[in-house]
Amino acid sequence: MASLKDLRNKIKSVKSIQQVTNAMKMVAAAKLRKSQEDMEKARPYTNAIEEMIHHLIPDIDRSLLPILDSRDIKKKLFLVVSADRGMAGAFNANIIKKTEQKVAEFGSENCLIICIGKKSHDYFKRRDFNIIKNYRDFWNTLSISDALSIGDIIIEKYLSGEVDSVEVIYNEFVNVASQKIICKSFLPITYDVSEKDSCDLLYEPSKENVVKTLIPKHLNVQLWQFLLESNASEQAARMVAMENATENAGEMISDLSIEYNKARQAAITTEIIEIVSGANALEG
Amino acid sequence: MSDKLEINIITPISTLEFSEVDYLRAPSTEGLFGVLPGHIESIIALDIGEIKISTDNKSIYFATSGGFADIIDNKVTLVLESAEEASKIDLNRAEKSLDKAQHYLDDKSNDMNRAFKAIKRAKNRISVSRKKSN
Repeated sequence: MASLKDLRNKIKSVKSIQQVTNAMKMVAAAKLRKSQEDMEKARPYTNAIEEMIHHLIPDIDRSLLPILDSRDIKKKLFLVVSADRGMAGAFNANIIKKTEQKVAEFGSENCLIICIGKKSHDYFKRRDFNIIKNYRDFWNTLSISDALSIGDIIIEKYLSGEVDSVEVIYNEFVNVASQKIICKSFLPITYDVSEKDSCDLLYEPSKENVVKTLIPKHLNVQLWQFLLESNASEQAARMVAMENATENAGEMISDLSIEYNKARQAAITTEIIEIVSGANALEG
Repeated sequence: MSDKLEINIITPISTLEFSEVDYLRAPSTEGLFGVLPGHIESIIALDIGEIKISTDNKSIYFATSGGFADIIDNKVTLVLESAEEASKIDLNRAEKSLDKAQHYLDDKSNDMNRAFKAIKRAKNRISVSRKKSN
């Protein structure tokens, strides 16, 4: 059995860990509120643009823009959206697992990866995946220009024919307690053929012009939305993980306290027995 | 078919809804255009300018910096980069940004296109803010 001093030290260290996890929980909760707000504000905009694209794309000749070109898929690019930091439960592990699975399905020699966040980059670098670009220390200063620069790289790779398909793997924010891993096809832009209804649309100034400005905007806005979703998910995951950790530490402290009290009581009892039997011996 | 328009203004930071609208006027890249109920289905690219929404003899004005209008069956979705209602525009801030944009022009190494756009945006906001919603 551990000595009284050991137990006291153990309780002390668990208590300080509990304080740390509790503080991390608070920080995550504050960040979550902001990122969730940003994300929810942006959602209708993204959806409206997506709707518009679906509305007009059946009417469009794919040869109009090189970005609309869809070809046989020989090379795939995965955009992996992970976090810079851990301590967020299975947040990063899930993303990495999904990516590995997707890469294995397609054959790793035909897959390129762009990593956002330190965690996924560290993991895939160690395993010699084809990483063409990575973004670290990214989330603290998240701005729309980040989304634009990532979008430019992806579009350039697609247009140059280096890759034939781009998929994004990220955490979608469902609610605070749950995130959903989503693997979404980003390029080529696909649509459901059954939805095709011959619509007689009026375009102003011209079909070409509208498509040329709307499509790049659509891609950029979508990318921005992925980042916002992932950011909010990360904070939510961290908050929940830290809440659990704080709770577990509390349980551990109460278990240790019981053990400590028992040990203390046992020590006192032994001492009394010693004194009593000593006194008895003197009397006798 | 109802004889009124339903308008949704969607920007990255807010969503506004208007129903029972009689008339919408918006700036396309080729000049102002108007939408009345029963308009043909269309997708129109919008430029920097002023949006006017008229309901029962009352008009509301917005300053926008461009986007798209999607018109289907008397439902108009305006997907805009920004939309500011005339009465909510901070005139001081608009004038400051105009000033800043004009100084930006002085340095010839800067991106002129961007500067001109910024000036256009600022001027537009100033002129829209003078419109009283009546």
